[in-house]
Amino acid sequence: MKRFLLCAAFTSLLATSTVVADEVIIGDQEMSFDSPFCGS
Amino acid sequence: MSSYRVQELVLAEEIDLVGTISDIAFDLVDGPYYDALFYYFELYFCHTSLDELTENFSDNYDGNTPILVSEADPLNITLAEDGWFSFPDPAPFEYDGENNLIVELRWMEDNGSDVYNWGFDCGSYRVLATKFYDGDTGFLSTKMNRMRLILETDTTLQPASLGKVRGRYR
Repeated sequence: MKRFLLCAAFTSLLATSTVVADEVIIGDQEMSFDSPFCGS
Repeated sequence: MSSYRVQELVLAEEIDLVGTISDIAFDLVDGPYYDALFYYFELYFCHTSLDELTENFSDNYDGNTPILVSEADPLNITLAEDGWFSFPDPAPFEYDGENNLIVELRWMEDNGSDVYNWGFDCGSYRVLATKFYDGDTGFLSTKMNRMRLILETDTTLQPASLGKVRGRYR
C-alpha cells in the first residue's frame, strides 16, 4: 500500500504538463512593400 | 479610403510544428507609424491542402472553414520603431501540422495611411489580393509578407524517469 501511494504521488508530480512556445518566422527581409496595409 | 482582402499561404514545412497558434505578427519597416487606422478589420486562419492559391478566395479554403482569430474596429497601427506588430487579442487556433495555413486579412475602410512591411518573393502564387472587402476573386502574386507565428505545444514528462524513481523506493 505504501509503495502504491509513493508511485501515485510521483506520477502526479512527473505528469505535470508544460507549455512550450516556439517562434516561427516565415520569410526574409528581402524587400519592403506596401501590401497589405496600404491606404489609397 | 480603401477596402482590402488578402490571403497568404504558409506551408506546413515552413511551420514544421503541431500546436496552438497564439500570436501572429508582421514585420513593419519604414516607420514610425502613428494612428494608421483600418476599419472593420478581420484576420482569419484556415487549413488547406493547396500548395498554391487559385484566383478564387473561397476555393482556396479547400472545404475547410476559416476561423476568425482577430478583429478590431478600427485596427490602430502605431509603432514608434520598426519591428514586429502583433494583431490584437488573437484567439487560439489549433494548427494540425499537416495542412498548409491560409492567413487572411481584410478591412472595409482605412484612413489613407501607408504601412510598409518586410516581404520576400516566395517563388509561387501564395498571395491573393483584391481591393474589395467582399471580393470573390483577386490577383495572384509571389510577393509575400514576412510574418511571425507563435506556436504553443503542450508537453508532458513521460514515464521514462518514473521508472528510475520507482526503483529507488522499492
